[in-house]
Amino acid sequence: MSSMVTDQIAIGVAEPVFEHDPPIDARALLAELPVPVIAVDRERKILVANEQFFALSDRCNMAAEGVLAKPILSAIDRVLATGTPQRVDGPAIEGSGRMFRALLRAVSSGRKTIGGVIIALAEVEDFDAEQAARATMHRMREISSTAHELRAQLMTLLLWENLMRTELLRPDDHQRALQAIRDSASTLSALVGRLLAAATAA
Amino acid sequence: MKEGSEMAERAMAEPRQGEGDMAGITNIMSTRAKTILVEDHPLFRRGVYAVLATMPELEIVGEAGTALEALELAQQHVVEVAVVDLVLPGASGVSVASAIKRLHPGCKILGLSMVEEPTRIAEMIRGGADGYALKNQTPAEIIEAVRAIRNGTRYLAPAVAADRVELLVSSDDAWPLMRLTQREREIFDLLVAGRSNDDIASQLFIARRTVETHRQHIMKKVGARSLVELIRIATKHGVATTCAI
Repeated sequence: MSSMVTDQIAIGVAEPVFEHDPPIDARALLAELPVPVIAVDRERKILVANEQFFALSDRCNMAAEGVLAKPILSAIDRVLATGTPQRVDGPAIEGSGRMFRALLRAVSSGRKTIGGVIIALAEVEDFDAEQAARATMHRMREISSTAHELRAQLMTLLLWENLMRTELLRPDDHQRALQAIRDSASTLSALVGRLLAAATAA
Repeated sequence: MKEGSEMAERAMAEPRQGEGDMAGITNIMSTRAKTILVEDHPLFRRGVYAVLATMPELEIVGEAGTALEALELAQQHVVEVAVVDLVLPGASGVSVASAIKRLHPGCKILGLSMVEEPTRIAEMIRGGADGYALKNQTPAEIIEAVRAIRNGTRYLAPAVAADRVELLVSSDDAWPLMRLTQREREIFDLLVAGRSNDDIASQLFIARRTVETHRQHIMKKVGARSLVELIRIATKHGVATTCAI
């Protein structure tokens, strides 16, 4: 069984799903639930959806018929088994070109019982693919930028160290070289500190 | 803009062992190539300055820490040699190399950077650089690189995948980003950096609609249908995280 709430859609899975109940009972049960719900069988086939689900299906790019795409059901299973949020990205329905992108996570720590069927809820956040891609790139660039700065300081250390080894540098410029090495090491240390602070905050 | 450092001035003012007699020095002085150094990290720039200052055939006429400063220098001097970092604040080293080459077609340009991605190096070469050295090379190798490009030989650091660079330099088909105009490439970099159309319009002082038009052209040229695909292409070609640092 899958269920959804208006802003943060919730999906719930029953295992086994309605094995002992006829679909008509499932329909009645789902109609009573105050949240959008779809019920699926063991083969991931969607058996029934309630009105709230239909109202939201367009916004979520999901359809109420067909077979739920395997990655989504697998992600729900993992959420329920581990309590760890899972991202899914792909068509909601097998064979459909319509994309569904979501973050699934357990709404509550334990399982819940509705209508005698044990279900657990997973929350789905609909998110914009472009926005998600931008956010990922933003994170990558932040890491990249820090790595670039770290390497720049290392290159500076290396260059001055190399200069000191060669005959290119005059003896009286060695103090200047040492100062450059010290300054670089200082900057390097500050950068590492910033990186650690960011990691701690994250 | 930074004028010559004390160390460099001394290095050039006083003859070194092996530099020859006074007549030789006079000859060298008269033919010294006007050189600029474009590097945004001051301590590293000071180090490269010290290296270049040991080359009697060069006359360092100025240093720049940004693309804008580099262009100002290039307008003030008849630049014959330029050592240019690839990653600069304000604009990339590719833009700087192109601008210097436009102003001074005979100028020899050495890209000097930490970036090892063949695509970025190829861009620098196509932008006008005559050679490309890595920042982790020794002073002697940097000197060798400058001398090579002055002699008309393309220099590529030994650690660089030269075959791949040459392929990218010689073939437009090898890399779809090569099909982009300079402006489109600029917008491509900002798009994959996560900037919105509005941000880009504001940064480049152009209309949002112009950005949208450029974006459509970029998508068509590189064969992407969405921003996500654009980012995949940038990642695949190693330019996703380094092009607009």
